[in-house]
Amino acid sequence: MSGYVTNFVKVRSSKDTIEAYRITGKVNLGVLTGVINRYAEGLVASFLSTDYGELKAGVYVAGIGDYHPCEEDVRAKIEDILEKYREERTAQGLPVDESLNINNIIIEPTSSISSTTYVVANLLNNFLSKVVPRELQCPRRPGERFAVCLDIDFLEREFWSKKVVDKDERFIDFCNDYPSLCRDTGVSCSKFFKVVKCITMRFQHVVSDQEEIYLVLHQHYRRLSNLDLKIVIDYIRSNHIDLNTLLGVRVNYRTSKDSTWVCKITSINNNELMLECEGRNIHIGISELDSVSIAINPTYSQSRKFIGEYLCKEFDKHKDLNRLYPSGYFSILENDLEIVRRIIGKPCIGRVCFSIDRRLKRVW
Amino acid sequence: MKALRLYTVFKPTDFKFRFANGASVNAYNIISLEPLSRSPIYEGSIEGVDKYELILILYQQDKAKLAKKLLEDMRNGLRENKKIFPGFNQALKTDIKIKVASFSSYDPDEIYDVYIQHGSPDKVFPLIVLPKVNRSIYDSIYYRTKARFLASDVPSQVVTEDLIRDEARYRWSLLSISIQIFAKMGGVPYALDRSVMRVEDPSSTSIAIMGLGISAHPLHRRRGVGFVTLFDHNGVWNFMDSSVLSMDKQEDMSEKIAELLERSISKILSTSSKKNNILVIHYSGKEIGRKEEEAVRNAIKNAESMNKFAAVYVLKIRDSDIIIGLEDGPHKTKDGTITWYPPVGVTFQLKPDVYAMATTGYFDLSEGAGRSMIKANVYVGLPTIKIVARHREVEILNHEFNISDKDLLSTVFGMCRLNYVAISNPVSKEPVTIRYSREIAWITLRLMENQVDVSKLSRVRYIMWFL
Repeated sequence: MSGYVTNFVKVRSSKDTIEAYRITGKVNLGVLTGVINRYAEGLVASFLSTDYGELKAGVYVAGIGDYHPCEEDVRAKIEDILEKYREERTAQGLPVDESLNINNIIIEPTSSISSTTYVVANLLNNFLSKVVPRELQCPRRPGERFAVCLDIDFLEREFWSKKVVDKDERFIDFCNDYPSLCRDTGVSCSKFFKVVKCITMRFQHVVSDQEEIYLVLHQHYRRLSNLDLKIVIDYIRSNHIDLNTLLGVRVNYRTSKDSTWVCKITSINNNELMLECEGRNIHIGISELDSVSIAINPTYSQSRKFIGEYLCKEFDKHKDLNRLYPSGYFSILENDLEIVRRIIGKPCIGRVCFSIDRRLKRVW
Repeated sequence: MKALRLYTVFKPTDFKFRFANGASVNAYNIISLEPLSRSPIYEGSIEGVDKYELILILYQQDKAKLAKKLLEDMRNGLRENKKIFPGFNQALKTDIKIKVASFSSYDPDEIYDVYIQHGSPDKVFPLIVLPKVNRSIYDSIYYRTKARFLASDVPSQVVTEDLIRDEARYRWSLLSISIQIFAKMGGVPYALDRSVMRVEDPSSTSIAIMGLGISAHPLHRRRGVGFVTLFDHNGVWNFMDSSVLSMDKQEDMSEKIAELLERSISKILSTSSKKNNILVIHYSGKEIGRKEEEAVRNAIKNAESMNKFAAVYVLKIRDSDIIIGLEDGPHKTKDGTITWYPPVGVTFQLKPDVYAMATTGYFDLSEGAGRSMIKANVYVGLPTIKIVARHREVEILNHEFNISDKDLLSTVFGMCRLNYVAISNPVSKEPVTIRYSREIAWITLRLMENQVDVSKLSRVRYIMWFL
């Protein structure tokens, strides 16, 4: 009987309830959650903005691993990290949220929070970015909760050579055909691009007659780019390519955290370049490029033409890897599931350990 | 009950299209059954298609060959197969002249100047041939040209040079292009033959389906647009409205969206003669974060005239990373590969009020005893799964109408059926209510930068200019 196969994997918990604290008070609870997850070792937090079933709104905090801190420990830790947060923001010249004061915070222990409830799925999600090694994490795209980027050398070393999973032939064949897109070969493409296997993951709360948590996995191949204009200019100079080949190329000029201009390179020589940004002409010295954020925007045809001609002819080839039917996709994903199990191990929070099934969820 | 329960499968054949002379599951039958209406159904003062005397193909002077090909095909139909496309007037039963005019450079102002020399915008419809550009580029020639024409209250149709060169795609696109032109002239090519949502007493109940969304400026995250699109229970276009927002001020956003809703509600109610008015809101969570979402929800809560409706239902529709395959499903490629595509319309329940709906996958448009014809509306890729979440906390419930989640999900699937852009695709990835959020937002923002308020343009306000 044919059934539906999904990219959901069942997560099982070692106990029925989790030990956690709930924080409320006259503070910006969303920011507080971010601060705890960023700075507090051994703690993970999740913010519930409104009541959800029997769960009350607030910040839920749990210990990581077998550790369950007492209330005083949690308070002391939060006091420490708030100090850290203030120092770091001040040093960077960024505004400090003054509501984040330990005296404004109320901490209370919770009781009987089911280990399969909504807030636990969120705690597990926040746990991922705390425990998975930074070098494996990749920048999140809109809508992604958490992603790891695995290059071919890492896959070979950690999984294929140890026979943990079957070789992902599709990726191997690709890297054999285009080695400089996959490995540091020193040849042009590898200076600017690297194609990696990207696995996104998040924990999803599911409710039917009972509550359950699933891990939702998705895999695709992604091209990581480093098209910083300074690096590109250094490269074309050292390869004796005319700087004028950059004329007309579009760049992203990040002027602040919230604002990026798309500009066109309208003139360039060994000392400076001129950008046309939304009707304005901006002169920038080549030596100043280290201190600004300008990178080629590969969406535009003129940029693509430049990249294809002078930096890396095959820079779009990874798209072929992602042309898959669900039948092919799920066979790769079954393989990737074991990789994910190894990377995240057996998450333990609030004195509950979670194990991840070896099979994708089927529905009939 | 099992987790991730298979909830229902919506079928495209249950949502036929209504034309002037009958109904069909296939939009292509517009050629034999004729367009539903030649003027807007909800704005009687707009004359519609019949006022037009000329379709003017505008092309860059070096592309004369391409323009000539397009001109001949639009006039006389595809030479090699008139069944695929019999010509604009022949397909849509109109009597409009078609001519060409050239411009020297891809400059929106120049293109508009050439256009205006050929007659009044009331009578001449511009069909512009432009180079292919990535639709995700805000300052592309595509958006700049569209905005230039709209700034003068003129809707336009763009055809890319690449499309005309690509024989295989071009021949199947001609009818879709013609249908879009027909809709932008104010006509209604077709609608659904049934209500997207069934109610017990349709004679006294009116159902309005509203798309509501926020889109941020692609380059300046602090600027954005809130928009409303309005359709009736058969998916017939009614009107749109929009408002420019400061994205960094949540209260301001809420206030502006609430104003937008008030304006729309008063327009809906002023044109309804039914005793009971039901509003179903599809709101798009695309590109928006928690702050924007809260602003939308607060706006729905705070719009005072909302309680003039007998019932209001709110569905949030967003993209998802969920992938579903049907093991050993019936769809195969030409070389016999089993794809595992799920049926379009298959819907799973994740939790109460939260559903995952496949909007791409395989479909079968054969009806009754006809031989099954399994096709897919996705080509070598994964199926699209949309999350549809019902937000009861902002609804106005009325148990008198006995509306179920399945009825509400049906409004999403029904609106996915409506597609004037690629008529060979029986189900779009997104419902028409929210599908055009980017086009609406980007062009509205561009017009705003030139001090033009799109909602005040009298000619385009009541037509689907964003197709």
